[in-house]
Amino acid sequence: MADTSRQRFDESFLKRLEYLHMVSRKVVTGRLRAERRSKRVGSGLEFADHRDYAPGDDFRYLDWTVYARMEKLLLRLFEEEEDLTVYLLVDASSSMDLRLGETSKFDHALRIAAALAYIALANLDRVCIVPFSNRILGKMAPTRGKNQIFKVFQFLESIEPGGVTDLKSCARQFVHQNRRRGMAVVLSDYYDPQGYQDGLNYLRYNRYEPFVIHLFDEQEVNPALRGDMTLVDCETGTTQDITVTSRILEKYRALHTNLSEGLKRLCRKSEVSYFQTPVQVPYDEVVLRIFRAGGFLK
Amino acid sequence: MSLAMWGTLLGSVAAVITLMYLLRLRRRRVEVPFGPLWQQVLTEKRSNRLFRMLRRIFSLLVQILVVALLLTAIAKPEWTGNWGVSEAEPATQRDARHTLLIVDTSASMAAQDGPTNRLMRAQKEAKRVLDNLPSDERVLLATMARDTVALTEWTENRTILQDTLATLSVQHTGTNVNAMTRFARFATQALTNARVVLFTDQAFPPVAEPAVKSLDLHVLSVGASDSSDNLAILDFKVRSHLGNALQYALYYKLKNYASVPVDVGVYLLGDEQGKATTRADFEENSPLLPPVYHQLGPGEERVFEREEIDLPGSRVALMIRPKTTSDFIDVLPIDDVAFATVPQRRDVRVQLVGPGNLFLHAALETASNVTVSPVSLPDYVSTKGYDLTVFDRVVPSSKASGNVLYVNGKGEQAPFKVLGDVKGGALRVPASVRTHPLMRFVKFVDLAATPLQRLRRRKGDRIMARDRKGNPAILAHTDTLSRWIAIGFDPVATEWVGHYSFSIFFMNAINWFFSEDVRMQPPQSLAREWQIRLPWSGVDSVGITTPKGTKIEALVDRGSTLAYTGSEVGLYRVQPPEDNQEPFVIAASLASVEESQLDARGQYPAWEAEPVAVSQDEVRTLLDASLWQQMVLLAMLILLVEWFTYHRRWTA
Repeated sequence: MADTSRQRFDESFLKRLEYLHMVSRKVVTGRLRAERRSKRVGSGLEFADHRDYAPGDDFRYLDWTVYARMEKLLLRLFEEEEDLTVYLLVDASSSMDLRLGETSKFDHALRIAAALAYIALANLDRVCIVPFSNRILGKMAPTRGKNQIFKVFQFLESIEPGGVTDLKSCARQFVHQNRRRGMAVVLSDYYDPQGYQDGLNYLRYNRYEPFVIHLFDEQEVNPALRGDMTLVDCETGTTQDITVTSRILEKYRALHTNLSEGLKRLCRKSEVSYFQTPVQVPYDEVVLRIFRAGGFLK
Repeated sequence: MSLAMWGTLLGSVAAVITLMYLLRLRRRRVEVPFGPLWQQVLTEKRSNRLFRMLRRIFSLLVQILVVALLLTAIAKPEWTGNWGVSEAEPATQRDARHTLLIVDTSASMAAQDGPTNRLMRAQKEAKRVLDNLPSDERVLLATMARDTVALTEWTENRTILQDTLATLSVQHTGTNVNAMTRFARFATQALTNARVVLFTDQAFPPVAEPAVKSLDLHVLSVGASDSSDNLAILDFKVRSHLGNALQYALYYKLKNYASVPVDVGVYLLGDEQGKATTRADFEENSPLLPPVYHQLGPGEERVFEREEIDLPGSRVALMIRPKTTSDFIDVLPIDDVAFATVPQRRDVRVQLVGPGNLFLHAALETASNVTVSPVSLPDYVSTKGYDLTVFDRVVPSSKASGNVLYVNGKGEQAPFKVLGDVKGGALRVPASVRTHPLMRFVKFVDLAATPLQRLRRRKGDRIMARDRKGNPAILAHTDTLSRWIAIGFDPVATEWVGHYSFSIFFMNAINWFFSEDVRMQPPQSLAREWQIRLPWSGVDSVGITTPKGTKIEALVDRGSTLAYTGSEVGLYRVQPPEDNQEPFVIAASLASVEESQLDARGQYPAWEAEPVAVSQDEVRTLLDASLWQQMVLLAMLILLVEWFTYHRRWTA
């Protein structure tokens, strides 16, 4: 574990994070502001809207100009500025930890999570990391400030993967544990026997902003399997005998594509940011593509 | 292969394949990240379950089919007119072409009358014939010498035949053609399509023409057509010299087979240590005598004798070295050497009891190995301590045991009875005993014995001399306990004492008493079977060490007759049954008039190689013969298809 951790978050990793931070600022500045506005209306400086006066409201916010013209008491509303909380929900189920090639999805997810956390911390946002499988496996309390990155690393390294994926129950548990809304970046392979739809919708319905990062391994899509074998589900341990032929492989690939496309369609339909990446693509390139695609920083 | 055997074999192998097939279905375990996806795949595929199961066992069925084809191929089936698998194998063996290859390995095949010797040429020819025979022709390889021996079974395996052929070597024996024909008849009697090919120099008496035809005998001659010059020792013997017991006499017979006169040097080699067994061993020693030279005319056979020769040791070798000229080259070295054992002499102690008899005393001491002790009758005690006791005109008061010679004696204790005296007269040696060891070289000419005791002949007595009326003059008796001789007249009173035969008779008598063989010591010929009387009795078998050191156990017939025949020129050592006994040595030489004659004799059908081009019938035969090969090919093709479909996942 220690060796793996050193490989994951070594000095060169930190340098790359700083580079990513710099690049992300350039990318975002062109289109959006560096700070993120919440949708909450409050005591900020920017006018947002009017509403009818209700007894008890602060008279200071009455728009007298409108009253003069229309003889109606309307209250001026301003956008409330607040710091964003970025929740990084990392899937730590057994399927994420299955290593088919040089790296596992879990390792990849940790590196991406670390990179996103660093950029969010550097952007003065709060970062909270929540690993999960069939339950919430732990939680790094929301933290802020660039210097907290090592705490992030430490927490990420301490996650022990295992268990079955159950996004729905985990989402429910997550929502109940965190009253402060924010962006919920879900890094997972979405291999959920119960289905991922309910979990993502649950986040949405509770006013979180899901950001779906779909991780997969190319060898999962195109497995190098041939002949008679017994397939063992790495999460449930259930087995099934199969003779893998080219036709069966084609069928499997079609089903896998359907799974990914279904997730993508759901996200598009729900206006949820969706990003798909194989583990064979380096994490820094993944992060940059996320920035270029937009949605993570506004 | 019978149908039952075929079925049993197929069932067994099919069971093994099924077991291996089931074992093959033990699948490897592979971890996948999301089992439900595969589950979904399989759910859709299971719709055609029956077809899937059929495909699953298709692979097994194909493999069993392949095995069935292979077994059928091995069984070599043939169509017999009836359905079913017949007892095809014996019929095939019987009807297939069979060739019996016999290579002559007799001594004449060692003749170096070309760049290589005859055997090497025969091996080369046999190899060529083997290479040209059809691959399915069954061949048996045998050698012909004194015995004809099969070296292989009937086989199509050319590798075994070639390997065996390469190991052949010349045997120093004669050629027994009758044994060869008997063997060939026996080997081919159950076969309908057999022939015999003999690789030989034809240096043996011709085979009878009916035998040649019945055996379909073909000869591939490897003898030289132009030269077969040879000078051979046909006989070599050694005996004790009759006049000098310490010396020996040699006898040897040489023959010149060439058509030109040949000068030859004769060398006698000895071995004092008594260990030499081969020509090479003797050649390490210097010749015992200066060589003598003879000249033999074309085809001349001559006997040579050499008398009074000192021979140290117990074995000698005679070697000839013919002079090589432009007209003569001796091509066969095996018959240029002969071996013989030297008769051993022993010291004999003789007790002469009587009033004194210088004639008798002198005659007894003629042999230098005899010591005579004169004793008067009163001083006589017993025969104990003496090898022979001679009672001269007296008879002891008690019965004498052991070897006893009575001269004109008469008495109650004598083993013979004297019925009185007769007038006697001229003595004669009966014709029946003229070759008896006691009477060898003894001849009575104008010898009259008078008076003559009238000896009563009893059972076991043998008359060695008698007068004209038949009265025994000399009796000899042998039984299991003792030997005795009775002379029924006084030699001193006759002219016999003045004859040389008087001394010879007593020397013969001493040799007879001690069974010392004064005959020529005949070396055994490797061309004939040996029947050798051993000096021991009651022996079932003996160990024999051949000249090259090979140890053999040989059977002994009737307790003392060795029935064994060697195949190497040299000296054989027969191990005694008890450690304190001296070993018996047998000298063996080729000594064969027939084998040393290297000319080809007889006319036989020559062997002609099979034509290379095959006719239409032969093509059909080849096709029929290779049916099993085609079946094997078909099996291999099916295996290939099965392998391809398996890896394409068409079959499970």
